[in-house]
Amino acid sequence: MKRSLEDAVKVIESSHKGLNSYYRVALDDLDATLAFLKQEGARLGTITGKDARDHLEVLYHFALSAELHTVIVDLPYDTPNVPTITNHFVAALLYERELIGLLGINVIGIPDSRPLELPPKYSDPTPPLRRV
Amino acid sequence: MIASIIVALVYAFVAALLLQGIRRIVVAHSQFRKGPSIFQTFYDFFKLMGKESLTPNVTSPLLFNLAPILSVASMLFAALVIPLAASTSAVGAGDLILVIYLLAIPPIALILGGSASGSPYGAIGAAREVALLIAYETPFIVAMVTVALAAGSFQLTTISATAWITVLPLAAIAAIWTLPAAAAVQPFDIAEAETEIVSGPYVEYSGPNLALLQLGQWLKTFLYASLIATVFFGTTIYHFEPVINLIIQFAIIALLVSAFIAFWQATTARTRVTRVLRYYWTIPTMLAVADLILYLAGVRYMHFLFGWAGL
Amino acid sequence: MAEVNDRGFAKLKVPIGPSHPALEEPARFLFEVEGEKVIDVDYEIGYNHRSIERLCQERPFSKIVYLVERICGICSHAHPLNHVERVEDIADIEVPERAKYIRTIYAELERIHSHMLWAGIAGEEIGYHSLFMYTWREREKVMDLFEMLSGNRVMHGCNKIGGVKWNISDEQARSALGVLSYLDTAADKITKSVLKDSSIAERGKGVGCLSKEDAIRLGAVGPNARASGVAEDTRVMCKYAAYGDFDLEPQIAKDGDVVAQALVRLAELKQSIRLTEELIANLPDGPIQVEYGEIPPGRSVGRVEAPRGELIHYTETNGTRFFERIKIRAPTLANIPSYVPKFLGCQVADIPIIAASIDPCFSCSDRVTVIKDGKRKIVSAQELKTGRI
Repeated sequence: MKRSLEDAVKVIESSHKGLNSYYRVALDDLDATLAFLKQEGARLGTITGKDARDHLEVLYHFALSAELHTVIVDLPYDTPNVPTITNHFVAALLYERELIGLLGINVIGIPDSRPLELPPKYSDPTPPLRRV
Repeated sequence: MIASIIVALVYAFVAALLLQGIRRIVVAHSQFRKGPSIFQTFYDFFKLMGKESLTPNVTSPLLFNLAPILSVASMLFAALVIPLAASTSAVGAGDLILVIYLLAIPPIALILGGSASGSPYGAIGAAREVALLIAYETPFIVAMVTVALAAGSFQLTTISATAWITVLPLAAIAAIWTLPAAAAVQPFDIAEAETEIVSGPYVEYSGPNLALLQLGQWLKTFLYASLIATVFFGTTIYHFEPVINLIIQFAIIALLVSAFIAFWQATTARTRVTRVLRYYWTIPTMLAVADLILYLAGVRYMHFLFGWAGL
Repeated sequence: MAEVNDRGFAKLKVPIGPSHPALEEPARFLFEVEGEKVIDVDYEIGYNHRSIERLCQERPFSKIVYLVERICGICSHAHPLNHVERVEDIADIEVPERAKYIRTIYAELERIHSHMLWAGIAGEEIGYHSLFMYTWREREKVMDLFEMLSGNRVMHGCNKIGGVKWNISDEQARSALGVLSYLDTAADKITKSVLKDSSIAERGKGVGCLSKEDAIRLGAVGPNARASGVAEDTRVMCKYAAYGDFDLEPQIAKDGDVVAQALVRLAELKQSIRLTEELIANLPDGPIQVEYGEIPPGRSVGRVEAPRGELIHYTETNGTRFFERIKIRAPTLANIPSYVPKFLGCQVADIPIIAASIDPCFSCSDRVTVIKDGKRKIVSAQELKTGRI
């Protein structure tokens, strides 16, 4: 990146190793972070959802030539809400629908909210990737 | 007469299925494969005849079940009317117009069956079959009418006394050009197109119904080729025993099918339905029409070659 | 069944799949067609969902390499390669040079056989059975080569954390070079037939176009994006395994149609054959694996260029003998959004070849995907541009 993400938004925690960089940001700063990355010309690689046992984590992986930048946001168990990023990156639609289906995360404002992997009649109330 | 009818029907059935076996082997060899047995079509046919025929919950069960019978019946009738390597046909006379009509019935049966099957694949396949039929029938009919005009008769027995390829080669080329489309193999298998519309009109058919529908198509390929062989290569000009004549004619038909259907099938990709009209209405139709006009204008351009034969 | 619209065209709903001759793997497309023109597309993919990501969290460490190898039968080297690279990155394991080269040889052979498989399937989809028969006959040589090198045609079991399992002997290297030079002529023949054959040009030129802007915006990867002029190749950018030692150029084409896709893949086929020959010729001596200790807690995300495009693995360890999380983003999932501009307005006859043009591997993505909600009738170009699919 030409400019540092730390200058643009408040990064709670960051680490770097090789081609990988990780930034933990507050949920409120997500939009600004994505706008910054979009400006830098980053391409969305994928979105990983993770059950970290006491909270949920959403990791947005961005590719910027050879580097991979990962933006991490934490979500509490009781309100797993995250805003959609399809307004910045169209390709995020499929990955966000994966979050809905596999981790039961509510993506606010997503154009199509049907779960991605699961069959339409999937009835188990616990999403498959939650550790319960 | 009854005997000659039975002989003609059995010959048409065996030859039609054998022709498919030959075609499949030629295609297989040009694709580095060994291919099926030459009798594979017989095995397939009799296997299907022994199976159950299912009628789907369709818009018109009568039409759906009638289409295969219509297809085969019309082709068996055509087999009696076309002089198969003899001076006369099994029923004694044969009219070119009648044969051309009869040869159009299997595609029409496919269209009926496809539309009646209630499947979207069948509907698309039927629509494509209509386009295909219109496309290849045009040059074929013009070529045939040219021959009839030249012969001064629509009677096939009169027409088949001359090998018309020596007089009207352009019309012959146009007619032979339509063979792959009439046989509905690549590049003209658009109505079946299994990767696109899952065999189109055939998709809902099973058992004897499917066997008959396919038999109609196979008979049509054979009779279409034998009509071309009869008209353009003559039947009685060899002056041999009828059996030898028959073998010579079947060899001509097999050669036509191998060279113009199988080879073409192995070397092209499936065309698109929009291209078929443009394809047949340009060069083949132009060739046939050119020959018609030249003949009407009194130009006998083959005369210098075959004039010694009194043509 | 058929309803007629105001222009007199019958509107039909044509389902393709989950089981259909045009699809090698189960997926479901629902097309709305007007005459022969596609006006709407809707699809679901996910008949292969096998919960691999969950299994990765519940199986002990040592079994995961085998598990990820079985995600896909074509990319059976790319997935474990990415996986072991991620673990090696977390644990700072230094892999011997020879192991890196052997991994790269397998990866390139995989690309060769995958691209030949694609060329055959593309031929089959447009009804060109001879092309299919020819390319698949030549592809068998690669499969035989795999069997000679690893003992298996499909599941090579080559990767392990810290190196590779199978060494390549001098004798194997010699016969591999013979096979490669044979494949080089075969690749030339296939390229020539694709370039020269008028019936292929008729079915491929201008069919399933994807513009460069759309490719970037919709996140297309691999040959699909390169056919639209996006010069991104993970092998060139990331220089994983032994790719850093060789000069590679991303193979690109401009048009983004089916012919461009074919040309990109065939150019990569030639490139891979040359690269494999170089790799075998320059194979360094030394051990093929190293011992490693405990895997510390950590995370790593990385990319590998699978034959179908960029493959992303995110791996997180927590110090136990289980993984905290493994996330796999198969290239097909990234390429699925590019179906929408490709399909809209195409003809029914072009559906199979467009579906095949991105070289889909639904096993890899094992997801359900419905691109647009059922209520909206047509996705307009405007809607695509504003990003609301």
